[in-house]
Amino acid sequence: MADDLARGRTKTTFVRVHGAELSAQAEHEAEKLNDDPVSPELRGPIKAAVKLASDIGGAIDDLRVSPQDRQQARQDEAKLHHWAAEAGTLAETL
Amino acid sequence: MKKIFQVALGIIAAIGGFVDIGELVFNTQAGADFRYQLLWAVPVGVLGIIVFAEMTGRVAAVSGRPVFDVVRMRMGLNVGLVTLVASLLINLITLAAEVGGAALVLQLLFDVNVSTLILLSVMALVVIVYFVPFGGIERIFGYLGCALLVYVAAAVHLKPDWHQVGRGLVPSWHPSALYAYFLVGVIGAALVPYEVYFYSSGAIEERWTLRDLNLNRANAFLGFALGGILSIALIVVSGEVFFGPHIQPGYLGTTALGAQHAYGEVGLLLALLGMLFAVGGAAVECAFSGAYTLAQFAGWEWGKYRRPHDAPRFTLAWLTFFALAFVVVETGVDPVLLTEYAVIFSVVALPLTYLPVLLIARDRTFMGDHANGLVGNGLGWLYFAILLVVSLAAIPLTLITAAGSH
Repeated sequence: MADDLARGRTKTTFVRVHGAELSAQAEHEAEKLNDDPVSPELRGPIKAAVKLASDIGGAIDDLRVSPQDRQQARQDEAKLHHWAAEAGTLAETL
Repeated sequence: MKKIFQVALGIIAAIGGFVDIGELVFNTQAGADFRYQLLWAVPVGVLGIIVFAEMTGRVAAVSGRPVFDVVRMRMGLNVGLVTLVASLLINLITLAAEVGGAALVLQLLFDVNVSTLILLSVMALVVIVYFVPFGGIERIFGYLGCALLVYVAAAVHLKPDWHQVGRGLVPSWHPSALYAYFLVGVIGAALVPYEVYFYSSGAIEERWTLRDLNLNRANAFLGFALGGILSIALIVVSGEVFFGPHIQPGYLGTTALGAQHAYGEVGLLLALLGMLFAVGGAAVECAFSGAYTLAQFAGWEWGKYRRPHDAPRFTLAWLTFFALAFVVVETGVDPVLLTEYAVIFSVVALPLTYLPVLLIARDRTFMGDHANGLVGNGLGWLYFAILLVVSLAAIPLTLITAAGSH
């Protein structure tokens, strides 16, 4: 979505609505991870996962708040790709 | 020439009307989780709906009896009543999912409060159903639903590995409950019973006779088969766009992203337009199917071709269905989740309506020369066996996988 937004290939209302759904889901995942009881050895990875989910939600929020800003979308796209890779690596360590 | 034109228009409407929220949800998720590995489930489901619909259309043309007339005649009052209650509940859940889906698509287009859009969707559907004749309703939703063909174009545009796509069409097994759940879901989404009730009752509405048996075959075979191509395209696009980056398409908006990925804003708009009319058309079919089944079982006057005051209980029934669906969706329940349950419960109840239709369609004393032949009976029983297996597996798989979430 960020890539299409950066290239002007999407619709503002779509980014606002779908972005809200996705950021809400990311925030929800962060809350669930934060609230679930975990064993001590998993505390580090879980803390990192909570931060990732929260950052991802925040970046998507930026997209939907200013969908006309292509520059911002390009930066968010790069961040989201980076965090997706980080999430993948984190998942493999668990 | 006029007949060919009529058949062609019917087929176009059938293509546009084939996909509903069930396919949009299950096929996209199947492609995202298993890429092309579940493609083969589409032809299995599509052939099933062709067999079932062709039989119900033929029974309607030969005997003038729609599905629920046959169910009551063949199964008796008590079993018929159980089937009726199950069908009405499933119809209601499906209708609520379709109405909720229409509102979500409108929200993606206009960014207006979803609660308001649910109300507007229901009101618009009621007005269309009340004022537009039967054929017009089919054409409006069927033709505009063809905007979903953007997924077929996108599937080609994204240049998938056609060898892998071909391999996906060959039945295979993957040892996981999630695979089995989506297998059941993809087959079930193609075989939703309301489509068959609507098809059969539509045959009565359009006063089919023996002369329309070829039209029935053409509509059932070509319409559903070509509609199945849309289902395949949804899986291919999802497999191309979502499988690699592990995207879970839990929203209708994510499904639309597949078309946007291929064609930008035009693709997005065509996908959303197609979804709107596909789920809107399915909502009308669901509301009518509920009213048809109730009226046919109770022996009321029914039919869209009658004026509302000539079939008042039928009219009240479909209006009530819309009102109940509105209440269900306004509770805030997620239409995508509702869709998953609607498809799974449909699969469970399907044999109850399929069996009486099969028994009547193969009965030479009832159908004369138009009874099932050797191939019809073979396919009929084969699909009954498939439906039994799928219906027995549906609920355990839903519980094991938490409705496809793990």
